[in-house]
Amino acid sequence: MTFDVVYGLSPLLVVALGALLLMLAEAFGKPNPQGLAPTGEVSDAGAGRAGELGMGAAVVLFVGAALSLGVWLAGPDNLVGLELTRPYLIWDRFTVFVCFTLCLGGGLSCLLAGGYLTEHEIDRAEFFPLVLFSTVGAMALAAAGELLTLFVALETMSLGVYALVGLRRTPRSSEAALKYFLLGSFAAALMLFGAALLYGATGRTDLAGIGQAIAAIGQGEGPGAAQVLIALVLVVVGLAFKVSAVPFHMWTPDAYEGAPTPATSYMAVAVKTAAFAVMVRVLLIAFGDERLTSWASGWPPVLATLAVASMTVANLVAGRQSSVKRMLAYSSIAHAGYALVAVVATIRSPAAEGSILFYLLTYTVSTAGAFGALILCGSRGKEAVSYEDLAGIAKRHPAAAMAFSLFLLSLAGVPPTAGFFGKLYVFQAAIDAELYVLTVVGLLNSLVGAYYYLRVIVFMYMREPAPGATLAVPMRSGYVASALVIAAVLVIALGVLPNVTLEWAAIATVGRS
Amino acid sequence: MSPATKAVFELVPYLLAFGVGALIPRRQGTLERVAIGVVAALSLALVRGLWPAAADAATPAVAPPEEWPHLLNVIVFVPILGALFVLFLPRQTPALLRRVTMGVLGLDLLASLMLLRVPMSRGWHFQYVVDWLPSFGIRYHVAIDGVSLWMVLLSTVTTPIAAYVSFGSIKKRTKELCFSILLLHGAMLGAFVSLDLFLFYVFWELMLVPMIILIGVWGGVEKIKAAYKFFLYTMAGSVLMLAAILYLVWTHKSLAGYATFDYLALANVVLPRTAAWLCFGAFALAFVIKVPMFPLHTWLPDAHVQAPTGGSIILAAVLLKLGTYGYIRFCMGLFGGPAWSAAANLAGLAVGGGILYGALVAWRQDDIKRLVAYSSVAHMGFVMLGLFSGTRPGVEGAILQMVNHGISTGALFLLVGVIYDRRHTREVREFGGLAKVMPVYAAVFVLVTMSSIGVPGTNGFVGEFMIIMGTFVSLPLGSHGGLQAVLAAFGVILAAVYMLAVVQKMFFGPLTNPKNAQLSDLNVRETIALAPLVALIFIIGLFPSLFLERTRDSVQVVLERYTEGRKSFQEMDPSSTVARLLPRRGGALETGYPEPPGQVDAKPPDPSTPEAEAALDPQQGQP
Amino acid sequence: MEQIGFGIISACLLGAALGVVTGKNLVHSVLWLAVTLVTTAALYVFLNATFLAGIQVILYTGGVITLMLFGVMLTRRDERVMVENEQNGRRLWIAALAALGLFALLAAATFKTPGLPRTQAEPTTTDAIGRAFLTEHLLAFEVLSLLLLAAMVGAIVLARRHDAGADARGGL
Repeated sequence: MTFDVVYGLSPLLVVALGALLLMLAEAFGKPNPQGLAPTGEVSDAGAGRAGELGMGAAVVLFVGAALSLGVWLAGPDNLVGLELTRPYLIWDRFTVFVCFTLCLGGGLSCLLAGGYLTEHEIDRAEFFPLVLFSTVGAMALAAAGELLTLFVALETMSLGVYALVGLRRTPRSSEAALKYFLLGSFAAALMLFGAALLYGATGRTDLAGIGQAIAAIGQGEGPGAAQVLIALVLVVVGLAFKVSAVPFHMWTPDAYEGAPTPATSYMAVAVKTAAFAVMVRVLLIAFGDERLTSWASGWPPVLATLAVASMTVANLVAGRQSSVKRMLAYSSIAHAGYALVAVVATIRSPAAEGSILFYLLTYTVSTAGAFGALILCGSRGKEAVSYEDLAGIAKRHPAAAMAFSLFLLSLAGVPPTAGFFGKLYVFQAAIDAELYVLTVVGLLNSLVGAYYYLRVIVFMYMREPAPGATLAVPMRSGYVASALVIAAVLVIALGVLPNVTLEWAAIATVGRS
Repeated sequence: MSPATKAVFELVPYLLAFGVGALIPRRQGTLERVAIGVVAALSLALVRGLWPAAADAATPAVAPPEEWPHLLNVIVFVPILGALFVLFLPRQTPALLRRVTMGVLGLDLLASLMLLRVPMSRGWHFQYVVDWLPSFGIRYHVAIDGVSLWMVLLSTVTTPIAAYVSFGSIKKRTKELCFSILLLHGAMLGAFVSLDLFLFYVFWELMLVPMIILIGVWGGVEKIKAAYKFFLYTMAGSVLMLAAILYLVWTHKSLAGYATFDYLALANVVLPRTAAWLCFGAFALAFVIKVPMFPLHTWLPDAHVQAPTGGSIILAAVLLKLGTYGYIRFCMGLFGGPAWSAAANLAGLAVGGGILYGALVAWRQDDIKRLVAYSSVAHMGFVMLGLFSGTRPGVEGAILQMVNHGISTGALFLLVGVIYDRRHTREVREFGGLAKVMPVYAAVFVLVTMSSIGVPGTNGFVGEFMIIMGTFVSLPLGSHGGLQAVLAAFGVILAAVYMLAVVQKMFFGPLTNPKNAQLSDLNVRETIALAPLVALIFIIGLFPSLFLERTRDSVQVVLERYTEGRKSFQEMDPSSTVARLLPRRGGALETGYPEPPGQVDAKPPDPSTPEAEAALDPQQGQP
Repeated sequence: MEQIGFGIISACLLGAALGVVTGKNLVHSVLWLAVTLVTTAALYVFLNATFLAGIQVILYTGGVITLMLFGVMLTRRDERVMVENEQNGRRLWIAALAALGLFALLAAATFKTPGLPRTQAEPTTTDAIGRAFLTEHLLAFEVLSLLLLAAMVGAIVLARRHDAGADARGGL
């Protein structure tokens, strides 16, 4: 019994334990004189050891991913002890799949940070415990089956990220952190409002119970119906903030651009993945009532509007950015739009949940890879952020350009990369659900998207740097390189042989009634 | 006589050809001599493979030789693996990279010649089926028939030529060049042989990136704009095609109970009217952009003019054929009804916007390459006209004309590249009287022009004649057929006008421009590249039946499917919104038809075993 | 009687909240915030949630506000950290519109609510809350402890002195 719980929750526990250990290591370890900033300022014991700590954090997270895999293979349903944690944490296949994705995304971001922080001499090894804490929150959020746990997990995930965004303390970074913090808190407050109303209407805090109560209300047009609707609106808005869907995306470009790139990568992959997981669970379990999942009187049209707006607006704006980092921020908004299409498709297609999970996995590896390649293309004092910085880099550093192109093509959804299958699965689910218009809009949007991803490739391969411009010099970092290799292998593997993963994603459902 | 001696005897002609090629009296290095010899031997192999008597003599007329099921896999994956291999070669050794590329392409050509050993009867040949993503119903299903056979051969013959030419003129970033050419080659071949719509789409998209790199890295002044244009046009067509594919698959799943992307299964789905029209539109748009047909042709001149010579050759010779091939295979095969109903209007577009407009615009061009590009639009208009006619001569002519266009336009681009390499300009008025300084070049140019405008005795004549004949008697075109045939014939005259005008201006008359006085004639590399094309012009022109007899049965099948599709479409109640599934046809044509997954493996693979992948048991389609 | 008391306290709460956002002086704003928090605590008393009221006063008014005052008074004026409170007309309208919309939504929710199901007549005791935390909500409680740790680490990150590297570059 105890073993079941410990084994089942092991990804969560390992990452939490790892966070504590890293925190201690960071505080009491020996400073590394070589890695110090030139001023020689020693503010804490872990100074100059970003690389090692990053490696440690990545190892912890990859162990978490491996344990998720182990739990998956053992089958969470076979671990009877896990019933104990219900309804607070619902540890089903859906959760385990998301945990794997989260650990993978977090681990890649930590590896990137290991190279990035050292290269740019940002002496903040607290990065790693924060990422781990945040990942714990994200995993708990994906598993949360009860409003209180959900809220606490959401805050745990977000708090770490707020600090990560402000890590650099430049005005830009501080502004980004403040924006993200204010709007994030606002979103959390809205969700809290919604949760309170739900509790008021149903008297329950667990999602399944809320779902049953709503079903009971819905049939009789009971007195709580309006309240439920308003709660739904508030919860959806709160979640839309977290997944950064248009028009709740205002913070995203600034926060993504201002944050140090590994933190951006972490935000783009892990935070979004967890937010989508909880969105699916809340919508399908708590608001999975027949009336609320219908086009006439429920959330599908709202989410469909959000999806169309996210895809269209983000893709159009992304094409006009002059900074690659900002472009990637908008691209992540657009990708949220594609995933939202799949969320809408859950109403009629049983395959849609699997498609979201698979999509998030492919999105995680491609986005983390793309940010990683962007990191790799710059070095200290010459961080590559704009298109101009990347001009002609294919000649000077073909491997970096090649890797970057691979991830961009995956984001654009060109076969045979992971991103293509992710999109294919999503749109297939959408067609299954007879959402033809959404599918066509989504596909046309992927065309627009392909344009600006291609633009980066064009700059890297076909443009020469302007005379006299400062050339971005690619950094040399084993950490970044290894992260890129892992991501690239996954992008190709998921693109050529996605079969097992697809089958696994297909059976990872939230078990709606 | 022991088999060994027999083999030696069989090799004798090739050795002779090699010897003749290698001993051409001119000053050249050993390596070049060997290369010429190999080309000569390969050309002989191609010709012998084409000749039915030769094929029969090689294998006594008992049974057709065994079809080796992996042959298509070899043909498709040798270039792709070669591309990956090239990635790991050092970029400091361009000579090595070039040799590896040429070796891979040569190997591929040799492998594709093996396809000729089997007579193309009804049904699929060299079929190979294996599950790829069983949960989605996606299989790796490749096969060829008489239509795709020529497309495969066309690309295996022209790509090495294009690569060889590129290596002559492009000296920078050889590694990327080799990688792009090999990957492009593999993707094109894959698209031609795929019978699974998903697989087809994967290869179709895979072609994009290397082609963009070819245009964008080694192109002209406006290369980036041309690359974007090419990319956006193609992508716009293909995303809608993907939506249509997904819709078809979904319909099939809801009718038959299992998902499959297989062409054979999806061809039996009869969609309700509106859906059929929309899906046909999505497919047709993708292919028509690729062909390209007026008014979606605007990317082509830019792409051609900006692309390097090798890129132009591949683009004209093979890439455009994907559009027409896709139209035959998918639009006519899957949506016979709408294709039939739309044929008359589309044929009008092909004649008016393609043949006539293309020719008139070509006439007005000062840039030779742009002229050839527009003539390409006109020629592809002929091909499309033949397809729309829906008659045997029309479709057979169209297929032949696809090959012809590949050969003659490829050769024209090559020739334009030759003069551009020497003078770095392509303006017609810069030249004049070139025949005096470059006699061989002028002779070849005139010859290729003859082929392009369809002078009897060359390949172009046969194809255009058959198309016009087919149009005249066409059923779907109805009473317009005659008019369109006449207009198309007028287009042939126009082609003669603009091509001959250019030839006259460039090669004859006085040598006005002093810059042209010192131009050297064709060098060894260019001669080697041109020789097979010139040979093919005559072979097809004089013995078209070599080609036609291999396509005949397959065209028959295509047309049967087309008519059947039309019939079931017209039988459908116009107001009905329910799709139908035709029964399996059975017979040789349906080998490789996907079985419902339940019969093979009723239980979904156990997720708790990582060996679930082992369930992908290679099951072979053809005994 | 209850109604009148509620009215007075709500009015105080709203006035104080307005004072927080419109105040030009940071110290005044913080003091107004303290008033807001105390009046909120009074509202909790009305709801029979005495424990919550107590916590509110001790934690927020006692702890947070004191810290904030310390913070405001000890910080030297650093232009770069100052957040400009600009009065942009268009933005003001948008903000007002959004706020009104939200208010309408919540008001609708309140008016449509027919009265909550009274699960407990007894006022919730500290004892019960404590038990709930360590029994049914144990998992949330554990996650909460991590949340606090993360908050601490985050605070350290943000409060530490600037990076040498970041200063040298003077920006992104």
